[in-house]
Amino acid sequence: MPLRISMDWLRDYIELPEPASELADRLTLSGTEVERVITLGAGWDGVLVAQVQKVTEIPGADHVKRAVVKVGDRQVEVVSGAPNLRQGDLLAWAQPGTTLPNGMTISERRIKGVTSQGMLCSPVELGISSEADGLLVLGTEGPTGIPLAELMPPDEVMVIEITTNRPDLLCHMAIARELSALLRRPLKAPDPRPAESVQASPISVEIAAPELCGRYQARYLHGVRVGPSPAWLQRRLRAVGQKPISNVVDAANYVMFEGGQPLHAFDAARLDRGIVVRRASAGEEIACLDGRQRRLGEDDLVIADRSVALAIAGIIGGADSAVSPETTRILLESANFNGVSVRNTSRRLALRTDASTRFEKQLSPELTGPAVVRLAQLVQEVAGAGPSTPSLDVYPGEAPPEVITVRPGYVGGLLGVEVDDAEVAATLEALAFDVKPIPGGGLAVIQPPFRRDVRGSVDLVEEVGRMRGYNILPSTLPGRRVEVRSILPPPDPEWLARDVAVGAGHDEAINTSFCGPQDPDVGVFPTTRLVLSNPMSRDQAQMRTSELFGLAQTIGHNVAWGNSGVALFELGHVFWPRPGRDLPEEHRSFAAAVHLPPGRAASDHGTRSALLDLTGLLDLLAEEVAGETLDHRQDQVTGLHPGRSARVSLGGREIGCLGQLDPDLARALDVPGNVVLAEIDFEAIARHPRQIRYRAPSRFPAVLRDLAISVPDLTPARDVREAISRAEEVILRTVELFDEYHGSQVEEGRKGLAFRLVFQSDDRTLTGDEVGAAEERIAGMVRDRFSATPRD
Amino acid sequence: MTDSDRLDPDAHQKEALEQIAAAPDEGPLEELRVQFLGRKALLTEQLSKLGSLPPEQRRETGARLNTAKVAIQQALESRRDALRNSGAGPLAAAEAIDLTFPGRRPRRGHLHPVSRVWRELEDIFRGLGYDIARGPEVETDYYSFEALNMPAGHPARDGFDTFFLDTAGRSTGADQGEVVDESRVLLRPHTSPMQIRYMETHEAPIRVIIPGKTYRRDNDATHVPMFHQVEGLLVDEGVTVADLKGTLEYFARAMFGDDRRIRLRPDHFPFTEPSLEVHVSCMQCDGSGCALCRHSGWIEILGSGMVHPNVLLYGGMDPEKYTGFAFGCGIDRVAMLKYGQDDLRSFFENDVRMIRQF
Repeated sequence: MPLRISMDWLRDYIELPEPASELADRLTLSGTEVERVITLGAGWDGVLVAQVQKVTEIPGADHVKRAVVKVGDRQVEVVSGAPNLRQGDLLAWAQPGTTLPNGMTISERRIKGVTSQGMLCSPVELGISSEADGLLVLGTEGPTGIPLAELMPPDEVMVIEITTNRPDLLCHMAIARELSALLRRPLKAPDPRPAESVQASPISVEIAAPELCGRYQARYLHGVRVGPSPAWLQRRLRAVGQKPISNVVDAANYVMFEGGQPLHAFDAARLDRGIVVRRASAGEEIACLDGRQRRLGEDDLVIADRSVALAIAGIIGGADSAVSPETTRILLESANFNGVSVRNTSRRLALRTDASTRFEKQLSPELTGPAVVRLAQLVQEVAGAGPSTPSLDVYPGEAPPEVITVRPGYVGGLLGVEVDDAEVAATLEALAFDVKPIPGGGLAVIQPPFRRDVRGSVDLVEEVGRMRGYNILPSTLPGRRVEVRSILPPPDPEWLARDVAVGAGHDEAINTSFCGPQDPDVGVFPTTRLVLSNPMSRDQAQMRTSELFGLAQTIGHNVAWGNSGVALFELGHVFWPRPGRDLPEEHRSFAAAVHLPPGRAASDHGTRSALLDLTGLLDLLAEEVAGETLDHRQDQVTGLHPGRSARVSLGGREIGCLGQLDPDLARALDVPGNVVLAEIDFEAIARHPRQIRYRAPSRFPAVLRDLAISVPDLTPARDVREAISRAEEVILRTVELFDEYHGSQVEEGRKGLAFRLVFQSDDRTLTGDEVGAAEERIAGMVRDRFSATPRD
Repeated sequence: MTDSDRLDPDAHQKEALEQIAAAPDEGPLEELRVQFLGRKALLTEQLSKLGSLPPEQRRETGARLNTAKVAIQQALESRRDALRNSGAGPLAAAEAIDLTFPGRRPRRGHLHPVSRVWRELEDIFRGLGYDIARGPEVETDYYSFEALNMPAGHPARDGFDTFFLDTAGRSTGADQGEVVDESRVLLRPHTSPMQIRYMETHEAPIRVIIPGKTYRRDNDATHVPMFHQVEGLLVDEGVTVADLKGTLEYFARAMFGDDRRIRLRPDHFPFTEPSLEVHVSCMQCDGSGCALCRHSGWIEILGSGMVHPNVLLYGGMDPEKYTGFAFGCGIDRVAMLKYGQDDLRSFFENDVRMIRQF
């Protein structure tokens, strides 16, 4: 939630003649990020104060009403759709011809048959706030017809985003302190001195849950007259985006935006004896200030009296004990609550308030005292309250301040630049740290109470660094002279694999790791999936175990975009749960997929050719990455075409599969034609990088012989090829299977296979006889093992 | 002596050159070659008879005849070249190949843009002597938060919008607002868990980057539930903020161009102290202000800082002896800035018309 800081308000505490934009840059580069600067009053020429005299319905219009407003001595009619249009309110009226800060130019317009003379403005239209919340209400009493700028003098507002470690910055005093340290300019802190009675508070306070409430301070005041706040107070609250409510509530808000401590005021007349800070009982209900009833549990902290819960601690007040126009006696609360507890309750109730965003970041219990004194003084000033009782203080969470020791030269040593201890001390003192030199060198530093984020000496380096500015540091590269120890391992084979796939014409996809319970399993990887407990949608509720279906889906999307015939690959993680273990087995998978559009590409011949390309791609990959040869075994695979699928293994272990996507799945994905896919467990080949050993090529001629045979149809060609390769023929160099033939020239139930055999020796020219003999032995072997018969 | 005895080499040369220049194509040109330089040509005949001349004439006549012969030879060659180049030769006509036809490129795929940048990152840091490590995407709470100085209940945990795994194996649907059990297994919301894992298994000096996928419950033009980060970690004796600044300046200039500048802005991360956001001068407007940098002249590219002493302790390093810096950078974001891509979601739709541009 961005914080709004009014320049006008800031100047109460420090002299700032510079333009806001310049200060914004200084703050941003010191760690307090100013997102933008809003100029209030720009574009308000022509915006006057008006008072609503009458509101009437427009026949036939549900969402807009007609208002008669008084502007000085004129009366004008305006149509407005705002929900908070109320008779008697002072509003901002833009006369026709006005150009508002948002660029909108107002003209007379007919709306639902009524001529709207100008427009009633919301804070958004006036550039005051960015949240639409009805019309800007300026109170109920005061002159009309005067320019809005007279009621709300021009101001500049810095919109600040603070980091979670600096809840102390959520107020004007803190920003002033930062600027004071940055600019080395004095800070003028408020010094409230409320009128005090000698009587103690008639209302007791008990903390029944000290683990959730570190401190509770209270003051009791009577003689309060509740009514609207004075104009200056309203103006300042509006400038920071708050809606004025009543003088007592506004004063509490003001003190929070001044000093950072959230406060609350109870109607003391509604309290049954004393205050008890306790855990809610299970199912306890409370009616909150925002008009909603909330149900609490034992982990929630409440402020209660002797009978009921009055407020949800640190989050929101209750309706029953709220300050009302009838209130005359009040109890001011300034307390410290456990940040985690406030955060949990706030999250569970889905209720974030200005108070809860501060408390949940764990404020210091030392803030409560000054804040309640300041509030008592302000309530006396703006609500006419009588003397305040002294602060009642229950402080179970008191802890002695910690002393942080800074070694001499430590700060500069970590920053990488010379910084002497005197500069360190001066910078920290400007930020309200208590700094004492240690005899013999170094500094003893005590944090101010609002800087709970500073715990160790390294935090102090940050304070000095950000005040000096990091951008004046030199840019150096680290390094010192060290003995050679371990060397950098070689680059991961992932890149080699990507190069192989890209070289084979495949484009790289990066698909989501999520999948849905409806997604089918495809391939040979484990199918039990990890399940998310808080998925963003049902179709992304699980983690993928294979990349294949995702690639098939991506092909479907590409077809829909008009990209037919794509060839893709992916190399990413897949997740396989391990029973009894927290973390799953996580492997990289290499997968490729090719779309074969209807026609020649998806014909039997085209599909076979594409499948052979994929087989070859996997072979090349295994060879390049690991220097290994894969085995392919024709077999049925989940999600693949039953007659066109194979399992891939390496060294007897199954590591993947390839084949044509089940035509039913292709249809379901609206992919016309065929899809062929392959996937292997990349870890299986990535572990042992290829070792290259040179072998001198033979200087003697090679002899080529073709071997044409026919074998029974279902004999895997690869088996025959393997058998020939493994034949103990020392002069047989390579075996290439170059043709498979079905048709009239071979007998029914058989197919033709053609091999090219290369014979060669390293030490002599082969004779025709020895080649012929080897050839015959091979032919004999395939005849015996595969019932192969020779063909011409 | 015959007429040929009185051949005037200059006139003969002139006549030959005129006829050669007028030859319409290679056929007639060959006829001219035979006519003027062939075995029965006048010039050849005269040259062969040189020996019969008196020595005093032999020298002069020989020189003139040779000059003419060379000139005619050159004329024939240059005319032949001219005819061939003009497209009128028989080869040009018979074997013409139109080389203005669009070239046929070797079929080659394309790396995903995120991979391209990822690889470039690895190259840059390898050049600086960094190891490259990978880590699990499914992580424990301990490595993701606790060991990074964010104990249970730490408010900064909220900002990570973490996905949790249902280790009991059932999906309960989106549970925003519900207080989650933080001891659960999760999808790493940043690559920082690897800081701890790497420190646990390596000794100082450490220089490593860890690129990889990360996950957060977020979905708009600049956030997707799955994205990529690179983590950097350097731990050694005497490492300073100036070293962090220099290293990241080197990276920014190597990645986005040598003329880029960087700016550091204090920020807050629980696992670094001090923490710094790194801005690079806008690559589109060079700092003068444009829509890309929202008129600031600077673009945030990464978060960084000096490794928090508690994190060093969790990693088994002695914070009294060692200091270090760490950074985390969105790879997808770098790719978007580098290639001028403004919708992160389209990176992961994998439209090949997108991929083939890289």
